[in-house]
Amino acid sequence: MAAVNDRERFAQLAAEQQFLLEAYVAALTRGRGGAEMIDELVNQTMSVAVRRFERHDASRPFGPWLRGIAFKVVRAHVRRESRRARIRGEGTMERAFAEAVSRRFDAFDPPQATQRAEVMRSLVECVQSLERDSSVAIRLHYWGGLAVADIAGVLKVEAAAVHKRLQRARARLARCLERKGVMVGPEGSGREVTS
Amino acid sequence: MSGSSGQTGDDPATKPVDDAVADAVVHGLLVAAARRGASLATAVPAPTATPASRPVTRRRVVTAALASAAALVVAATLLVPPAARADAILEAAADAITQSSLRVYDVSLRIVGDRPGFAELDGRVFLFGGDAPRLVATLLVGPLRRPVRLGTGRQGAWLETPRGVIDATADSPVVSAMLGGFDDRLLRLDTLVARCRSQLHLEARSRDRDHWRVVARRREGTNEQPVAAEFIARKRDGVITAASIQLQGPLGGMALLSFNLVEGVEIQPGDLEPVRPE
Repeated sequence: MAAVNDRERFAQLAAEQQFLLEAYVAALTRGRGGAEMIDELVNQTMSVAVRRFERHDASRPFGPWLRGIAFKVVRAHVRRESRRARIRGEGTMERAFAEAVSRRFDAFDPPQATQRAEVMRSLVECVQSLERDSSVAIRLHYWGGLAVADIAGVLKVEAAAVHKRLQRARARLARCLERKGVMVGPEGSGREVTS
Repeated sequence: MSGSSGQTGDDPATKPVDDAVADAVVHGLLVAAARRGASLATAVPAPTATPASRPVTRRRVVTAALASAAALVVAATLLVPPAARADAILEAAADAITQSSLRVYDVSLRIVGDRPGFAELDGRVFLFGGDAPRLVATLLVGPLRRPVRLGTGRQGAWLETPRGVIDATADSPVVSAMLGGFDDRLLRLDTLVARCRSQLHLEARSRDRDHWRVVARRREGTNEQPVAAEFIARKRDGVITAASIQLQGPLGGMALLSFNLVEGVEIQPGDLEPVRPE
């Protein structure tokens, strides 16, 4: 029954962390692939995690441990992609960037369903509070699944303008989430990503 | 962006990095939220909302197997090997539910795997990737991979989508037509259950009066591929309070189905087709 109990526990912890895991993978890989790539990396992370779960120290939080695995999975993916991408002149994932992203997520680790719902609710409220142009761009891009070029076509503006509009909107959302206390500022919680 | 909080963000030397990090974090949150269908029109519903509170216009029974006479929470966790087909495991889950004649009040189904993708039914359905539970993904996700919510309950079944709540009862002829923007192929829940029943055979063998061992064979054409499995039910005062089925695939993958009863529900031996005591 021990194995069964472990798997039940893993399933519960994984369920609690899935939202943040997807967000974390999306943050690390942004611009490098679409939804299918995120799925693939999340699945790889879960697969590794379930095999290594017995090594997890139950006295330590599960989220950072899971994201530590995710980081390695993403890094391996980026390295593979970078080998191909050198031809195209793209770089690899910068360690300092990844560590800073990890710190933000560690400080912002809501395992409970009610807390996750609060994060979602706050995010939605922040999106609703955006000025119309920004809100439309965010909705079309994230909720509508439209690429920047497609949004440019819809809004009849240059793609660069849409890109900038999305960037500004995300900056406002970050400030909004910080004001609501949902997201921490740049200092994070201080965890380093292990190699 | 970070000027509003934290000393680091006020340092011009680190501000571009902070901005990029905040940008990435918000991007990640938006991606995850959008995939969960967070409503931009109304407040996000609480995850523990009861079926009675949902704005469902019509609720009826899904299938006999999923009809909900008793209050039971079914939580199925399926850990599949990289090479396994998630849809087969999904079918195993549904089959296990139907084979055991468990009545479903609310469903929580999760599939974790390498290749097949990740799925979750916990009042909500998030099905992603590849050939993961394609039977459901075809209906529920579609080309935009939007998450929808599936609910089953005493009064029937429903799907919540970004476009509203729809009836998902078995006699609802064209569910997908109401999911504009999704795949236009039709899948009925009873079709899913029927397919599950045809592809996996679970044979329960009693270990003692409180435990059951299940031998599972996956049907592939005329062949049956053995899958080691174990069904363990915990009883208290003759009533099953929790149960789990663990399937061991030929490649070492595991499928674990856990059943937790909200209210005690008696499962009769015949429900699990016991063969012989071990």
